[in-house]
Amino acid sequence: MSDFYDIEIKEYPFLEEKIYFAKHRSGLKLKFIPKKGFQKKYASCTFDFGAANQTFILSDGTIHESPLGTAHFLEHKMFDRPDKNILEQFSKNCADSNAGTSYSYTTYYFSCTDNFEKNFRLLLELVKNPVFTEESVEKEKGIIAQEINMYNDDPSYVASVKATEAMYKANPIRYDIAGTEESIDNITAEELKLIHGLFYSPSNMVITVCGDISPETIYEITDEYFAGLSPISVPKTIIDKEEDVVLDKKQILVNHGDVSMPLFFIGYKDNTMDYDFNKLHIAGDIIKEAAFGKGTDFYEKMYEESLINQEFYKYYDMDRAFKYMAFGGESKHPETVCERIEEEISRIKKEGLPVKQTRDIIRSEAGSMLREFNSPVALGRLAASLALKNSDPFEFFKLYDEITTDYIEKTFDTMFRGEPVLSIIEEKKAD
Amino acid sequence: MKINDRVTVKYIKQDKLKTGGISVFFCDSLTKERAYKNTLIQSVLSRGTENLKTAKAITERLQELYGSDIATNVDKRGEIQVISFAADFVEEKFAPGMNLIRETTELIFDVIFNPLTENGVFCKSYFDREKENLNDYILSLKNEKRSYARMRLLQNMCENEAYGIFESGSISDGEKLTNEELYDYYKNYFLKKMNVYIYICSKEEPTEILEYIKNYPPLKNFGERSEVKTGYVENRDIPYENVKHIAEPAEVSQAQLQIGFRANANPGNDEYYATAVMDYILGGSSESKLFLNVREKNSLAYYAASSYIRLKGLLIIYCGIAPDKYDDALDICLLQLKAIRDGDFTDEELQNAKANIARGVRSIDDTVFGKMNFSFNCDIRNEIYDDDVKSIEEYASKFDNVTREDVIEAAKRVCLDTVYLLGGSNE
Repeated sequence: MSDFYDIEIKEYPFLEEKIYFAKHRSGLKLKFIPKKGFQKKYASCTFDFGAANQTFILSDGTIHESPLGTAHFLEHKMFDRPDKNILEQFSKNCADSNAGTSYSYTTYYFSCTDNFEKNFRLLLELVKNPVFTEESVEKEKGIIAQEINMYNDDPSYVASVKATEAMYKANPIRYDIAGTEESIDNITAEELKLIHGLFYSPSNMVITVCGDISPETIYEITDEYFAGLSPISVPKTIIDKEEDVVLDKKQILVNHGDVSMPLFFIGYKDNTMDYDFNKLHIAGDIIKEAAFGKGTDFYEKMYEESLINQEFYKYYDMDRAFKYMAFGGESKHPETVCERIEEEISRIKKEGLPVKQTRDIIRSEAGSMLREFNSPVALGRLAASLALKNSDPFEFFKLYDEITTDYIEKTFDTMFRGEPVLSIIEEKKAD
Repeated sequence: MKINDRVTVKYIKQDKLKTGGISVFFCDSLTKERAYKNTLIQSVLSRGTENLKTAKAITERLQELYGSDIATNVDKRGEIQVISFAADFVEEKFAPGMNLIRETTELIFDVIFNPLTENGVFCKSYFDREKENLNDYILSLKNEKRSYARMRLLQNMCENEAYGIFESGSISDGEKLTNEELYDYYKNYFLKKMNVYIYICSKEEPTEILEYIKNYPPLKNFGERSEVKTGYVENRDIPYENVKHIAEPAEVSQAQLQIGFRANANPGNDEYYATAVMDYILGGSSESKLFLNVREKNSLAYYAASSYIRLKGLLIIYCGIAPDKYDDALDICLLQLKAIRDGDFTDEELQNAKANIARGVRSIDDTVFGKMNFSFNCDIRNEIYDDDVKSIEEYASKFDNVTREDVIEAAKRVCLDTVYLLGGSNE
């Protein structure tokens, strides 16, 4: 008998897809999407723990504060075992494997075409039985410090960090996920053991699997690692609330080593309040295309006037405690680019977005998601990223049907209530 | 189905994907005279049509069509230059009430056959901008050291063969080219002399679309079939003293070593499968002889691998090395090939190679573009070599039959031709 219970299969006949939800007596949850006939397979373990889980209350009531960058450091050290490196093991089993730490969660994953069972065992071994020694922790500090320095050498990264710092006063997004050279120096093997014990418990974890695999195989292998365990409670994290502060325009100028043309980053803190997370996420993606995409007069004009070039980018980013729209690229006249964006925003607030085009973009975004369903790896990743947001790819897809141009218009107004932060990176002039 | 001598149209079935696709391949003999022009035409065509005059208008149209995209590419298969246009579309089941297969086909044809013109030639600003972009692209090849070294190896190794020509031409080829000439060339050569392959991949056979393609007027203008060839040279034997050694200086901390061999394996028969397995054992993975012995055991290289170019019959070993390690690196690379000739590989290595290649082949079936590309490659081989492998499964299973002796023989057929080093000295 398996320790899995409450197995539910949700069918989506229109999409010709289904998804399994299962609970395990250890507290872990499983999401499984079968993809019959596909060669590629994907599996991941996601923990409800990330860079923002920095200060939390222990069971005896005391408050513990981890050094900045601990979650990311832990992710690195998980792969390191005294006798082997797990990344290399995956590679030997013909699997691609990696991990990622965001502000609110950490994911370990692999994809492969064969040896699924072997690789799945390796994944569970990876997250369940790490070994931390002071010696290897010390060694890692140098490697991560180099990683941090490398980012700081990258001018476009510096531009975005300066802008996000100015957008948020007391929020984890102010700090890099990797921490600082000073903060990671305070990380110890003891600290990693403590964090792993508290936050990497089955109760805080979701397993996502996608591919041509039988569910029984997944149940059996998971039981090998987690049968007989009972749920434990996860400490409560103290996270600063999202700030409802509407910003005034700010401009930051940084002189940096060598940039052939000034680089810019423009951030608009999103001031939408009381929202549905997934719906707002979709709205952000649609707005960036409908208002500023390659199919708009705005973009065409900016490009023709050489204010922007092909390096121009835009994205909408959100996490539990922050959200913003970003624009960036290279320009000889970054201030003008920013003014044009501001003008375009006020124009759209008055005149609205073109309805037909916005509708086309909603559909086109739905089309992109549908294309992701063609790939077990892309679909698995999407399912993993939604696993902690109480959604799944097929429920998420339905939102495209629910989203109206009215909703997009309304969101546009609340999203751009404040003014932008503009950071410009210019070449350091020789004195 | 053949519309005429030059145009082939095929339907490919798929049953597990949400999207179908259409690919159009134009084939020309790779020549110094036309490589640049063919590439530039593709870029100019992508800028606007008589119906959709700007890139913006094309973007908007693609958004209407459920977010499709027209992917364009230029490459060479043997000595055939291939200019391709491809797009996918959401299958009717998932976009009820829309005929995306029809509309996507119309759009891609509009781009290829109906470009925006002014004064009877291509729109001048599009021609100027795209020529500048193409020249910038050719200049930028130098930035990517590994692929640049590969290009230079092939230019030197095949200096008297068409295969040495870079698939997008060189800047000097375009220096005197005018918009008028290019348009004339497009009308009288590109649209009249090349062989065209069109593939439609979808769940249901789209009889109406196949009929539409068959009757599409511009496709009827294609006359007699052009002969193209892969440029495979049989059984080339090069005495060691005639091997070319070339070194070019470059400001790099990591020198790029590219070692070119003639594989001497017929692209159209079973010699191919044996050579592919041999190549995998030699340098196809992080378990391969090159990776383990050049990179790991002797720390001579940052990466070390091999690749096999089937249609032209070339095998290439390549690695990134410290500039002063040239002699040691070359020796150890050549020793790995010798090891395979001597039968110095385990049954496990052989089995893994066969299984991994077959698995890679089977995963072609997971994507719509993979399936169309596969069919195109089969058709080219069938035409030139009478190779009648048609299905992905049949192709994958061919590797099962490769024996230890086949691999040893394949390694023995390989003959060193040119050694190229970028950055550093081989004196």
